[in-house]
This record gives sequence, structure tokens and C-alpha cells, in this order.
Amino acid sequence: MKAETIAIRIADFLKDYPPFKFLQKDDLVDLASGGRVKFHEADEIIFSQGHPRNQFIHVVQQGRVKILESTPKGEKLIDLRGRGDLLGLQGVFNEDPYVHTGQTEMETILYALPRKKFTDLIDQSVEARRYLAAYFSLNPAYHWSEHGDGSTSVKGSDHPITLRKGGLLEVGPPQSIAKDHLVTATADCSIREIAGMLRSKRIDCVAIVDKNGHPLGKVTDAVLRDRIAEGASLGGTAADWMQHSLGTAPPEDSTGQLLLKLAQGERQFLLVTENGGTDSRVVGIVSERNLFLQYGRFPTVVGEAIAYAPDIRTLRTLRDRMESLILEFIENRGTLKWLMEMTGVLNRKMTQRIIELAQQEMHSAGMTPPELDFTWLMMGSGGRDELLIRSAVYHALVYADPDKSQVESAELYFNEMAKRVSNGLRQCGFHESVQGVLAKNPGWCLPLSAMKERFRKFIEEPSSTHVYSARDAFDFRSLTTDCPIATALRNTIRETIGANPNFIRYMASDSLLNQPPRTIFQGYVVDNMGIQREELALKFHALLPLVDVGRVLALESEDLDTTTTWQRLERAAENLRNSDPATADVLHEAAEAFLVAQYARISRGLRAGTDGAVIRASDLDAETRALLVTAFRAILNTLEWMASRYGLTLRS
Amino acid sequence: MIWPWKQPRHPQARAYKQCQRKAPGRRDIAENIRFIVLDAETSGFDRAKDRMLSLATMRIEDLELHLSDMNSWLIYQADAGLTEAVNVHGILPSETADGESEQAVMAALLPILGNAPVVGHHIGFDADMIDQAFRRHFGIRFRNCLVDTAELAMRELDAFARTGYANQRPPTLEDLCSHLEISMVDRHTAAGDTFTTAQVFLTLCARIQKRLKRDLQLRDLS
Repeated sequence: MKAETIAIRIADFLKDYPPFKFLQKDDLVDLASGGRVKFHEADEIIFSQGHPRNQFIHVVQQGRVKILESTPKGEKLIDLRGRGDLLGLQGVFNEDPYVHTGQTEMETILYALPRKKFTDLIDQSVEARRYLAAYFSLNPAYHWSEHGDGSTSVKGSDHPITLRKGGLLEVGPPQSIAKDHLVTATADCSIREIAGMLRSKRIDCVAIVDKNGHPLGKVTDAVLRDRIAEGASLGGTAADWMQHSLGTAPPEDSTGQLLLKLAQGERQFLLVTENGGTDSRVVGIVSERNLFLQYGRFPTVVGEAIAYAPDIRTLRTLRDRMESLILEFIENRGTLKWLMEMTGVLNRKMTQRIIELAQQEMHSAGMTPPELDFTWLMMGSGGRDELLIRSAVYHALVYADPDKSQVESAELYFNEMAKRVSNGLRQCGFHESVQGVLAKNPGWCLPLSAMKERFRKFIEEPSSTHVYSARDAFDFRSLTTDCPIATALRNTIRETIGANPNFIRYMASDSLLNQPPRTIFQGYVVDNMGIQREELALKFHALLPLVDVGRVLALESEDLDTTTTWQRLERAAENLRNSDPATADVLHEAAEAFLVAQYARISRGLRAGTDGAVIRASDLDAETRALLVTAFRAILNTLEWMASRYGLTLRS
Repeated sequence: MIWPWKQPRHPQARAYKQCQRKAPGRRDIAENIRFIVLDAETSGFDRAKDRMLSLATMRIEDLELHLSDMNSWLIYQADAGLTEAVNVHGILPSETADGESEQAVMAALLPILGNAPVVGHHIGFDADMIDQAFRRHFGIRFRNCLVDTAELAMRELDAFARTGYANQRPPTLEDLCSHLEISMVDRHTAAGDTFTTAQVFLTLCARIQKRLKRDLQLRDLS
């Protein structure tokens, strides 16, 4: 019947815009034919905050609509909606009253579509749901899916991380590979039999197990070779030959987690056991080699190459290789957390190697190292494991307090070393922090007691010491996990903060300096004054506020070991989960917002060959745009909560 | 009192005539009035000889266009000749063979119209065609109040204001759409033109209401 033609035209219009583009054309025609067309003059209210919703959802056919939030201080611009955008979505699935007010900014034609039919259709489309989820929250079940909520939502990134690009073979999930390569023997097997197994099965490692199948040790190709080279006689049993040091992993580990364990422990093999420990049955074995067969390109390979790099130039090319790997992996949003951790491991390895190289150089130059422990502290984004892009680095060198006789020689030596390592990092393509928080600068290469004093001063007199420009120093992380010097420094900081609670409020007030924009509309960034810009300063307006808030919360809870921003926020959320669930939600969203903004920064920055601090809003795809706009809201909510918590005011 | 022998025989026509007595008043608020937007394609522009080939209506209530309530018909006209109008709407007389009889379409139209004000672009011509069809089939007149979007636009939009010259032509639907930045769909089909006219009407209503700074009444429109 001809009457349908109009509905078809409207469906044609809708299908260019998400989430409608994920729906079937027939369904859209059906949806449109139950709808209405409404015309609004400029400055008309379409719906009002707090009012019950009618049975429609609105789509802008033409014109522009402001989304406003009424606050005691007046109306606040939340978002702008234009052609093809949906209105009044928040709370649509729960029949909640309107969360915001919608007001036309110019003459506007709206399509009102039946709400029930709309939500039913959305429910049937995974993609549409996923898209819409970005409007409501940064719900990890949709975007970062790790555990999800068990619903049939998108599970795309729930798999073991898929690093297929450049992969040689797709052999299935890691567990089946692990099983395929497992060969076990008991401890009383003769070594000749073991060698036979290694040869006939074309493997590198035999797991030695007890009668219950629990792991005892392993015999590898390399062990045989080394022991024979050392002159061992070719007799005895597996028990005489096996290595006892074992890396184990539970069967549910994803490939990404296995990679991390291999890289962190510098192991070639991991035994997969039923409970992940050494007191349960061995069910598989994972090696770099057999994972390599699955994925081809490999961060651990880079890690190993870093550890043996002969010079800075080699390190520099390795860092380039790392970056190209990051670019490949980051295609999948779900990999970001893993990628941050992995890059952290590699960055530390690289710094470690630069230190070794510097020490070798100094040794050949005839400088003898003082017999003092020292630690290199990565600060700023490096310390927070957020240094995926070669942006500015912050670092410091701290060494154990020398004897009186040693003071000068130690200072000389470590200053020289700090200078060489700083230069090495710079040669590897890392920018240096403009605030000068660099080990080569005076004040950042100190004996422990002086460094403690330095931090004490920061905390006791934050304003005269300009702690704001050195705040990244509080996010320090040493290259090794159990570092007594770093622990001692942390204890001092904890004690001093305990005695100077005002410091937290001081830092909190500084964390409110940068605010997110309100929205991205038709390729322009709109700030709270309604001013539009083409460029989006992701670093200053999205990441920094969250980094600062995360730091304040970590310092306040005296949790100095957690340095990663999203974990700091997540932890603060967990601490409040029972006492103040609303705030916990705000902080949880903030953690997700950080990941969204970080993802946008890294993926845009790496592709554009910049540090991603500023990106062009018009380059964003619809999903990222929607996620960012929601992230901006989450950041603003977080800052508002910070302001009220510390009795501060948020500049508006 | 209407004498029984003066009543039309057709039940729909009788009901139509009945409800005309309760038609909306001139001071009724537009938002409370049901409007019917209508467009007809005809075999030509001669009111006496030419016939309707297709017809479409849409309903506006609460000053919202209801997409769910749209009707369109192709009308079978046995004796309609081939005229220049065919070049406009592209409906060949032979094609109307798939259509319904004029009487059936008019019988269906009667309850839809009821006493609602009828909106159209150059609605006077369409109204004449319908009036003649009503007389032919039911012996009644087409009595609904008319709202002409061309007239409204000349009154409301400076761009089309009367110049006082006799040779001024009222704006076409295209003129209005490009001025109001409304995208046209399916031009010169009854359904498409009805939809476009409805959007023009709603736009004009909003403008008039804004100028008047009070609720829009029927008298402001006709």
C-alpha cells in the first residue's frame, strides 16, 4: 500500500544513524509507521527534567536540541543533539522520569517513535545495545567486557586476547595448545627415556610429576645440553636432572595473562595446573614457542631482546617495534588494561637495560661503583604504567645513605649514572618532563634520607615547594617489585601525610583545575560556556583530572603501592561500595572513563604519530564519540564529588 | 431539524453531514483540534472535466503528525483522458485500473474527514474536486473548514508576502520547502506531498504561535 512510502522514507533517514543502523529495514519501517512528526520553535521545551516520560523517544530530523540539567545553581549544558541524534534516552529502559531537560536551540523537526517498540527492537540487536550502552554508562559489560554480567551481551573481548594480526596459525584457545604440548614423566624415569621423549615428540620440555600428577620439576632441552657441556655423565633418573623452579598458571588464564607471566618471570615454560599452584594435577604446558605458533608476534620476544640489547640504538629500534605491536593490539578495546601492564613491564625492562649499559660504560671509563644499593624510580605516567605512547617521562634515582667518607664519591657516581640513563631514555624517544622531574636534575638524584626529606617538605609546605608541578613524583614505582628503598620512601610519605592532613585537601583542590568539555557535537568540542573548538585536549581535559583525583584518593587511603589510575579509582570505589554505593558508582564510572579516554588518546596518537594529548574531534568514530561524551560526564561527576568531599568549589 | 427526505441515503454521508454541525469553532485552540492534511493528484487542472487519480490524508492531533494514521488511495477513473497533468504526477489513466472506484474511496474518506479542518497546499482546488465527487456520489457538499498552506505562508513569511500586484503567484510547495529548509519526499505523489505539506503546516503553526505569544486558535489559520 502506498501509505507505507512515508514510513519507508523515514526509515531511510533513520538507517544512516546509530543505533538505527543496526536494525533491520523492515523493523525501522514498522517503527516509523507508529511514530509522529513534531515541529518545535527555537527555545521550546521538549521534555522536562523529573517529569514522567511519554510513550515516545525522539530523534532530531532537523535542527538542534540542548540537553540541560537543572541544578540549584541554575541550568547546566550537558550535551547538544543534532540531526539523527536521539533524545531523552537516559532511563528509557526503566521508565524513569526524564533525567534532563531537552530544549530546542533553533527550529527543530523531531520524529517521535513509539518507545516500547523501540526498546523491544534494541533488545533484539546486540550491536544496537552495545551502542546505546555508551549513552547510559561506561558499563564494562559492554565495552571492556572482562566478566560481564552473564547476559548475552557482546563478548567480543572476553576471549583470550586475540592477537591475530601477523599471526602464523590460528590454533585455538591457549588451553588446548597447552594440552597438546604436555608430556609428563615420573621422577624415576631414566634420563635416556626422557631424552627420547624430547626427540620423538618434538618438544622442548618434559614435566616431571609425582604419582598424583602433581608437578615436581621439569627437564628441558637446555638442561640436558648444559649439564652435558658441564661434563655430567649420561646416567641417572629424571629426579637427578630436573629443575625444581617452576612457573605455574591456572587453566582459566588468557593468552594475555600467560604472556605476562612468561615475561615477568623470565621463564620459558609455564605449567598449567588444575588450581594454578604446584599442589594440583598438571594439565598442560605453555612455552613461548608454542604460543608463538598461535600468535606469531610477541611482546616477550621484544622483552628478551631488550634484556640483551648491546646498545642504546638497538633499544631505540626495539621501542619502535614495541610501539608497532601496541598499535596492532589496541585495535581491540578490551586489550587496553593488559596492554598498559605489558608496556609497563617492557618499559621497566628497557630502563633496566639502559642502567646496565650505563654502568658498563662507566666501568670501562674507570669509574668504580660505590657499594650502595640504589633504585631507579619511574614517576608520572611511567610510574603509573600508563606510558604507552612516548610522552613525557618523569624519573628519579635514590641510593642508600652512604658513610661520611663516601658521600662525595657516591654523589659523583650516581649523578653521572643518572645523567647517562636520562640521556639514554631520551635517545629512546621519550620526551622529558617540562617540570624537570628527571634524575639528571639536582634534587631528583639523592640519597634516601635526602629524598625522604624532599617529600616531607612537599607534604608539609605544599605551596612554597610548588608540589603541583612535582605531583607526578608521588606516582613512583621502582624497577623491581620488592625494593627496600622505595618501601622506606613510601613509609615516610605515609607518616608525613598522617601528620599533615591538610596536604590532601591541598592536592584535592589542585585536582579540580582541569575540567572536561561538555560534549562533542558535529565534530566540535563544546565547553561549559558553549564555545566550540575543533581540537580536543584529551590529556588536559580528560586524563589529567582523573589522574589527579586518583592520586589524591590513593594518598588519602595511604595506598601508595597502587599507582595505576584506573585501579586507584576502582579501589576507592570498592572501599565505598558498602558505605556509599552512589559514590562508588561515580568512581567506578571514573575508572571506566579513564580507560575510554586513554584508549582514544593512545589509538589516535599512535596512528597520527603524535603523543595524542590533543586530537581532532571530527576524526572520532561514532562509538568513541559517544563513549567520550559519557566519559566527560563521568569526569565532571567525579570532580563535583571531589569538590563537595573536600569542601571546595568547582569553577563553572 | 432536517427533513428525512432531505437526508442523504448513504450512511457514511449521513454521518458526515451530522457531524458537520459540531465542527470546531474559530476560537478553539489548535492543539485540541484534529486536522486532516490532504493532497490529491488529478488528471488535469480543469475543475469540471478532470478527475482525481490518487488521494492521501494524514492526521494531525496535538499539533503532531501521526504517522500511524495515514491513508492513500489510487482511484480508478474509467473515462479520464490523458492530459498534461500526467507529466506531473506520472499516473497513467491505465494504471488507475488497479485502483478502487471513486465512490468507494469517497465513502472511506467521509469518516476520516468528519468535521476536521482540512489542510492542503492550494487546498481550494482539491476541495473543489472532492466537492464534485461528493455531489456525484452522495448528493452532499464538501463543507469542511479549509486551511491553505500557500495562503498561510503568504501571510506569515515575509519572503512570500503579498506584493499587491495581480500577477503575483502564490508560492509552490517547492518554494516553501526550500525556504523553510524542509526536505521533500516523493514529490508529486499524493502521499509524499501530504507529508511535506503537513511539515510545512506544523512549521507555520509554530511560527504563528510564536508571533502571537498565545495559544494558536483556528481563526489564526483560516
